[in-house]
Amino acid sequence: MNGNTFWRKDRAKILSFTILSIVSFFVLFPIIWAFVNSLRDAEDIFYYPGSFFPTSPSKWTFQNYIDVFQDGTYPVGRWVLNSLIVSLVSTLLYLLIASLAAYAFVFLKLRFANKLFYFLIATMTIPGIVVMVPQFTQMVSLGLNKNLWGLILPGLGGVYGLFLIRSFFLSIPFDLVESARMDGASDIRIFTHIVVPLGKSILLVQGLFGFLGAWNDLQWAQLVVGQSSADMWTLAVGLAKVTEGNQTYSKLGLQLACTIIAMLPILILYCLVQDRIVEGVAMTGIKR
Amino acid sequence: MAFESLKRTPSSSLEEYALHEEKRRLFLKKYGLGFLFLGPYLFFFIVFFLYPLFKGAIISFYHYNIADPTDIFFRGFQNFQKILFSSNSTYFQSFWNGMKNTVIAVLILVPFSVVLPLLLAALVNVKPFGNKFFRAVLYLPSIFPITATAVIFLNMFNNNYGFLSALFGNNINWLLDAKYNWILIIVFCLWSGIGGNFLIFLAALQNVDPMLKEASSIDGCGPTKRFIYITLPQIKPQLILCFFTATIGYMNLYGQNYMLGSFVSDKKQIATAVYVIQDLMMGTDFQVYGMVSAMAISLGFFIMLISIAQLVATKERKGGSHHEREYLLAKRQG
Repeated sequence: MNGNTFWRKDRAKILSFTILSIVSFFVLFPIIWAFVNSLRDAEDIFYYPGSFFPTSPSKWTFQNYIDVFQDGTYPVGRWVLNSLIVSLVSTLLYLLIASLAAYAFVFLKLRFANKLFYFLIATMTIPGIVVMVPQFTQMVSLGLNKNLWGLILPGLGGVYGLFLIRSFFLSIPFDLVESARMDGASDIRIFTHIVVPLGKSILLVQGLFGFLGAWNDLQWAQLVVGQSSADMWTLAVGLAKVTEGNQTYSKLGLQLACTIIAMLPILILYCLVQDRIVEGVAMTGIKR
Repeated sequence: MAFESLKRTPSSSLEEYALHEEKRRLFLKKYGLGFLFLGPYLFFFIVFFLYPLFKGAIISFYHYNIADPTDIFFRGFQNFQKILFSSNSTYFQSFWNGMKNTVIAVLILVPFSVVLPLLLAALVNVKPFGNKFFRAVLYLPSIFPITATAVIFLNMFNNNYGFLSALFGNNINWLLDAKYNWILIIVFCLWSGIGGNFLIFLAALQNVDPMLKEASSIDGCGPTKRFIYITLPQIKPQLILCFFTATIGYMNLYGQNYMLGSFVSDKKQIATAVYVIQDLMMGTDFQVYGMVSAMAISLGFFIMLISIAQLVATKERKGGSHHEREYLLAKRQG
């Protein structure tokens, strides 16, 4: 009987391995296709009747990547820089502001803190699109449209990250903070020396998702910087413009090289801290 | 007792003064600190969330021009009336057409984006060889910018040179024909969108009590029965969560259609509700913002209904009523 269950378990494993291999192939296919084709020149891609790999070993070329930065049709280098600035600055600022606020909510015992927090939570049910329209008119009237600050500032009032950080801070033993207070540590010191080091993992998770969100954002970035000169575009906006009907890069390889450039930082990040990202997503599902 | 403590006798006044002063100092310290820690966040929350929220609600009743602040006048419910009810207005047509497309997309996408990730999670949870790798791969498309991955799909499915059309030799025009373009959009949404739900389900499945499974299999439950009667009830919270987040997420469908539909000439056929709103805001007509805000609020109203349904569904499972029942039962039994 034991052998029987063992065999059944084994069979299930083999079956699931087979199915997952096939699914993974299809999931990865577009990415690999893009990568391979970004290393071919346009003529070779148009080769008939189609070939997945370059038709001969001599057709592998790095030229597309060089052209993307030197061709001058679009300031792709500038887009990368803009995306990096926006993603990094907004992520770091938000982490600072939200973790300070989370500290206040958890450790400062303010009188209306809980009511205020429930109010913040309640605003999370308001659909983003409702606020987005007036936010845009606000950016216009503040003169922050066509400006990278217009991409950074509005996100700093976000509730969800605060909610995540606060719920993690709640799991920090209150006695620890209390005893530090007894020893005469100021709240700022407690914040920087106890709470932040202990909350590192959640700050990392929130930071990662903040970065991904800012790097991948199309909708808001399109509104704020999409109408201005190409120098102000982020990578996401730039890619959208590049494909828009008549503005297409005539060379397919260039488009794909651009795409790979947009995906590369994220891929590196994913390889480095994959477990944290996976945990982060799973945690948001379990916690609620 | 209470009376005594209220009475301020001279002998205790110094102590009381000190106590009072101490309290005041603490109060100041506490609220000064509160301001220091909470202030920056609240500033941004109020300036960039609350204020726009109210402003949006107000301008939805106005004619509002972003290029000219003086060009503003009250229109009452006319904006809403035009969008929601007057069938010969272009706003009515584009809004309801967008809503129709959105709802159809939601109806098709949501079942898939709950069932597919659940099946995949169940497969990975069997822990075959390389399950960590599979987990990483299945989530991978979800973290890339959709603009980038959509460019890949656009080129892959371009039937002038795309590898796929060469491979199959077919003549379907995925990029120009709206009908096929929708298929492409849906495939793309699933490819790039199920990763999050997959990870949530996987974590939930790993938390299912193995004792229960074992007990049920001793009692003669097959794998299918076990999945339906043991596993599914245990991951019900995650099922509800994923169902609603997918629904709300796809009610806001925009980027996928914008990118993949960029070659469709009749944009009406691929325009979702958010697409319509976004399109108006990116347009050159500066005086429509009262109308746009009203449109966003109308859409937001429908999304809000879903959010409220989610709240109700989640509250039920938190088991407040269950505890109440138990408490009443215990009370009755004395």
